[in-house]
Amino acid sequence: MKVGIVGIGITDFKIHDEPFYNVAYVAAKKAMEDAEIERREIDSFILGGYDNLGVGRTISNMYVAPAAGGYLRHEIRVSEDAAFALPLAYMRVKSGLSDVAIVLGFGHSSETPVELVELQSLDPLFHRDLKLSLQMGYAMQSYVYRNSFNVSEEDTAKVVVKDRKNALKNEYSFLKESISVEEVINSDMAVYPLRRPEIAQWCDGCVAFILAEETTAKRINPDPIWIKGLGWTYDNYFMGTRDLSKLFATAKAAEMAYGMANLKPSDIEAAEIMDLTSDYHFMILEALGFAEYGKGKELIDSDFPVNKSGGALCTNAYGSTGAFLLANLALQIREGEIEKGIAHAMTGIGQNAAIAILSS
Amino acid sequence: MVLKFETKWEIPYVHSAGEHGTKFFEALKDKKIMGVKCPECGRVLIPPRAFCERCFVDTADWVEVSDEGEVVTVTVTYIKFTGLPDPPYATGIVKLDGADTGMLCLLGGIDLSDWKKVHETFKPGARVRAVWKEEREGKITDILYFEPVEG
Ligand SMILES: [Zn+2]
Repeated sequence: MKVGIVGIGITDFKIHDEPFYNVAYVAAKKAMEDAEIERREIDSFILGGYDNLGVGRTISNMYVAPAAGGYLRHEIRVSEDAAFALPLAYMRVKSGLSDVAIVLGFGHSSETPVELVELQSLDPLFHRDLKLSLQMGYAMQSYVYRNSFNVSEEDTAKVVVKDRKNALKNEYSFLKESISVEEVINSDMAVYPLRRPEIAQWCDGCVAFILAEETTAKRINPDPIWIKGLGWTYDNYFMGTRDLSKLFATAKAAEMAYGMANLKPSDIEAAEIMDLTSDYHFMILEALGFAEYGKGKELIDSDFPVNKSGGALCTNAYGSTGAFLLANLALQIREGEIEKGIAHAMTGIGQNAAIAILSS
Repeated sequence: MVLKFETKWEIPYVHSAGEHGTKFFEALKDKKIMGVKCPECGRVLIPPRAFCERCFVDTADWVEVSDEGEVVTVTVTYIKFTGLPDPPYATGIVKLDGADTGMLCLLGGIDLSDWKKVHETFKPGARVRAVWKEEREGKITDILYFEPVEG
């Protein structure tokens, strides 16, 4: 029995004036309208996003469960990027415990000092006093990556140019400003070695998916988008123990997803990847098996479609970025542009990864 | 136009350092950095921990490592983050002599306003040493930062 995506709801990704739960409600409504189903047909409510410190309220599900249409129903939440909630929804449906499930992902950065929040995830005795911001963690990886593989500023600038160009054509993306390689290279150094445009900016936005088991899926939607492979894993918490030139968690999660789908990288026709920095763009493509380690830059001029959405560099809402990319990949399949694609999400300082392989 | 309200969490926790953390922090008072050795893989781990997560066995012997080592990576922020110190400041990972894992730390002792200078000074493999606080109190901040070793 297959599990398919039969409804997708994406809100505007921007700085929202409404609180996250009202934006989440819009996404859930849109997904149900897209699937043409009523909320009573849904029997699993899976919530994803950064609750607690992330939105400044504990038990955020108190807000998001009703927004998902799950008033007084059972709900369960994954306190991670909402892309990490997809496997849980898949398992509910695949196990036969659920016929129709909703995944509702909320991402809200504009009310939250995200760097200060993420600092609290560092060990309070050994690391928190070092005042490492999330972006400084990313930059430490960039420094190792660039030095290990001789990656130039021109190489990484091209990633920004490419993502920005794609975002201009995507109605859902947040940052819509084209930029040239020269402009990237001449922009201010923000978090060495990363310049301002090479680091994703924060925004707000929510995404919802309706999942259904095969028979129901086909009844709801003649062309469901099938979930073929899923993978997720994590790397060592201690940065000093990791090989920072590679994304171990992404590689392992991809291995798991390819194995489940019985597919290999060469079968994949497009990728949506969570490139929170320009360097991560290359590092992710390498870990997903599309290039050898250190050779990700060679893909920049190839015709293999990466981040048609504009990527995380153009749309990054704390908690729903991965879900946004997943939704964009699903839409490419629905539009008939590709048959098989891979969506990647990554959290922490590259320590956690979740991968989904979708097909028509 | 919507109203906005500022709210704040100030919650005092009391965390236990555990046996391993206690030994590590006590040693800092004497300008000593202590790691712990895994009996199976033989790695000297910093920060010290009760078990080796890779081998899933209790760690055994304590090993004093040097307060000198080499730079694995560095970054400097030139932008201000809410609630974090004013820029510029530098963090990095240093692999201390005698340790098998890198240690997250602050780097300094040079003018951080020029990133080219930072890059020249703290290249991967560059030698650095700990600059200790005068009045140590058994906290990670007893190491002010790591500075370049001349020569
Ligand atoms: Zn071991």
